[in-house]
Amino acid sequence: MMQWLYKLGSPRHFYEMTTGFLPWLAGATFLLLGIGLVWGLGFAPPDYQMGDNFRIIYIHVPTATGAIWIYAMMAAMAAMHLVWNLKVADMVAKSCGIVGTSFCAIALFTGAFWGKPTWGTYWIWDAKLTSFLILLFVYIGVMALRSAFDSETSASKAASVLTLVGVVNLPIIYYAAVWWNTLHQGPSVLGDRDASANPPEIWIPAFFSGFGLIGLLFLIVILHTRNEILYRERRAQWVQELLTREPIHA
Amino acid sequence: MPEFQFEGVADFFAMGGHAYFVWMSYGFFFVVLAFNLWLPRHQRFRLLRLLRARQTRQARSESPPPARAAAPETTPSPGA
Amino acid sequence: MHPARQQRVMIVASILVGSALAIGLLLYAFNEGLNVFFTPTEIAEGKVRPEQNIRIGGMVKVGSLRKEGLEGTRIEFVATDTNKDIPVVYTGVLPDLFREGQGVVAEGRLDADGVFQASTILAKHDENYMSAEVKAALEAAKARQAGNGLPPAAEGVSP
Repeated sequence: MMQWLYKLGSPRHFYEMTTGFLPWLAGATFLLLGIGLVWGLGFAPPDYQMGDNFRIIYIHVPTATGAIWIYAMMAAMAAMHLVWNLKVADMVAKSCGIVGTSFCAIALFTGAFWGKPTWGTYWIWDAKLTSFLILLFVYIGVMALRSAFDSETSASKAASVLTLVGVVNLPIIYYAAVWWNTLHQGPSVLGDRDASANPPEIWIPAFFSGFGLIGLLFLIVILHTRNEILYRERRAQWVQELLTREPIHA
Repeated sequence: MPEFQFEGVADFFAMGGHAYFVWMSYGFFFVVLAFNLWLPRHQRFRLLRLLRARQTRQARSESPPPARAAAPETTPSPGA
Repeated sequence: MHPARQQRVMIVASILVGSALAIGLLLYAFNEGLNVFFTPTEIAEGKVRPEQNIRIGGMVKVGSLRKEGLEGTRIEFVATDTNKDIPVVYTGVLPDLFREGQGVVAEGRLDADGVFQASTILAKHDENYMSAEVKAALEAAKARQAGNGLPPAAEGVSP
């Protein structure tokens, strides 16, 4: 296990190991996501109050949760980069930027289109929504800061530090509806027998789409990381050899 | 086993009167994710083209006539 | 551990602790202001001046909803946090999920008589999602329980 992790720390091994792994990851991702979305859109029972509008939950909750967890991963990578000077960690952290921003944007957009018919408004400046909007800005800020430097070393150091500062926001988002009163509801509790709310037929499709979206997150991050590896290792012998083998389409 | 909750395709697309909100949400979701899948592929091919062009240039300047630089697969294809 | 590496661990830790401390103090200072609405109890405590533009939040008291005019354009209801009540008057369109026994957030001002004149009504939803069948079964179970003389499960406003 440790050796496997150690190997992942080398750009070349990361690239070579993910080459074989990618098709499987992509297959599993699209299978899970397909099942989850078809089930959620067509087969899950409508909520007794919100009706079919509630089907937005199957993309809103996993993308919002995903945006938070990918930030946590980005921060863990930033810490590893700062402490061990691990290059792959920095490349992964950089690759989290666009997909994290995208998940944030999807969560905010779907939340607005869920909020309008449910609450009666697209937006309210409550603690939950505002802290999540700040997460979007932090993602954009980290990417902007990284691109503001000419030197790759300075860029990655600065981006890592800002990423770590932004971690404070994560518990605030999660607990916003508990610490303050907000229009947004608190996190759902699954498997609470007494309440018998959120029964399996409601959350099982969310489970599929959730794991599908986690797969998709990793897929996109790995694709970006592989590009970053090729670029930063472009003078290495193995990349030069790879170039003569790899076909060019598109 | 879960049952299909709608009576036909039209009923499914109507989403119980919430069609606008549901399909706007899912539409945005698919467009953004499609962009996220397209972007790294696009960047990869651009990068490969760039690096290969550099490799060919280098090979030419280092050793002008050898077989490797003349090989057809190292020249960037015009259709790429 | 390598001393240089140990130092870098300390730097990472101090970034995390430092920013958490700074934001924590900031949030502590703003604590009350970060609430999106006042509860009826807070209004009873006199935290709000009359004619001040605010939001109040609570539950629509069961049996308090009165509709006037065609299609009930003007409505009256009582918002409650189970401790204190506050009467609300509103004219306009209501969100789908507005109903008795459900959470509500109203925007407007408190008049001199202590009646809340709402300009906007928002429905607050809880974190429980279920199908109509499950809801019906739940209600039936609750009714049975009440029939047995057991107190029904307390239903409060979700935090």
